[in-house]
Amino acid sequence: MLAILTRERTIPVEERRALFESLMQRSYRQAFSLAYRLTNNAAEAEDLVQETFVRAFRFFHRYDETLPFTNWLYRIMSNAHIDMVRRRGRLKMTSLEQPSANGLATVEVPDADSSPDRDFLDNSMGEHVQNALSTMTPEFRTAVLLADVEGMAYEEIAEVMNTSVGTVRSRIHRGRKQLRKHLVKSAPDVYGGMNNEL
Amino acid sequence: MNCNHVQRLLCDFVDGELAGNQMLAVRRHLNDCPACSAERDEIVAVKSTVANLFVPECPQGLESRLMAAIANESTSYMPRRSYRPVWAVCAAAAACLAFLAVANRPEQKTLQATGVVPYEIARDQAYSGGGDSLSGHYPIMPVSHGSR
Repeated sequence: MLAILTRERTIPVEERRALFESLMQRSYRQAFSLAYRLTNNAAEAEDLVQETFVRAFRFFHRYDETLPFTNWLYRIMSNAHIDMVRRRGRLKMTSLEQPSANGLATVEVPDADSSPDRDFLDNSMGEHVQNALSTMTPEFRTAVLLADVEGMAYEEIAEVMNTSVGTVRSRIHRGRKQLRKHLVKSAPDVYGGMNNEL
Repeated sequence: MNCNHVQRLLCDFVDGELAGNQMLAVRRHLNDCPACSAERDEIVAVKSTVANLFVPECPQGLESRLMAAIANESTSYMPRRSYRPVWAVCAAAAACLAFLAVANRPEQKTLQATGVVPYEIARDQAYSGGGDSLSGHYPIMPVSHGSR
């Protein structure tokens, strides 16, 4: 215990920063990839990645070097994303309550079609799934993405999301169910055959 | 294992989260049941689509912007030890205040006990119980919660 405390204090700031930067250089692409899937928007993904790394650096003394850096980073990103979504929700509510100069209440809604990366999107199933993911709560979305994209075990996801394995299982089951419902509803010609009763 | 039971386990099955025996039982059921097998295929299809979702390349200059953000954070970062004198000063000030408060406490009225006090009791913990008719002494009585 004493060793940990003294080590924490004795690592020089420069050395600490160099170690953090090398970990960041190795992981930022992967972090951006998850952030993009969470936010479905390149600019928001960059904001999320930046917020995540700044928070990670601030609490780097708490990082246990025996565990994978990305798992620890995803934990921070998951929290930062939930904060971001809630903050955005509050901002939208504020803009409704404070009408603009012409007396009309306005809400800023990002125009998904104007995004430059939109052209590259696969217009079939991928787009429907990404839209379906956007309608899910951040907790459900994160659980599904960590399982399907990162291939994490439920136990690892539980650790990242600071919850129980049972909760993770329930979020993944219900998240996938929501995805399928959304797909059947948004593109019945493609997914009409899917069993929507589950 | 019936269909309801298997369908509840399908997500776990697809994610490789089932223990050996359960996994074999589900697999056996899937071989014989086309409905559950179709259900499994749908979950696999959704899972693989999520896994292969399009992600654009990292924005140009993201790495240098992250480095700059960390450099900025680093200059405003205060090492933990620099907080320690602040805490020490706060603790010392609190200790001084506590000492002064105790030292300047108004003197409490001394009990007029004429007899011998058998053991030492803090003043605010005791009161004089009145004269003892047999010995003529004033015994010191401890204060019970009820009489406070």
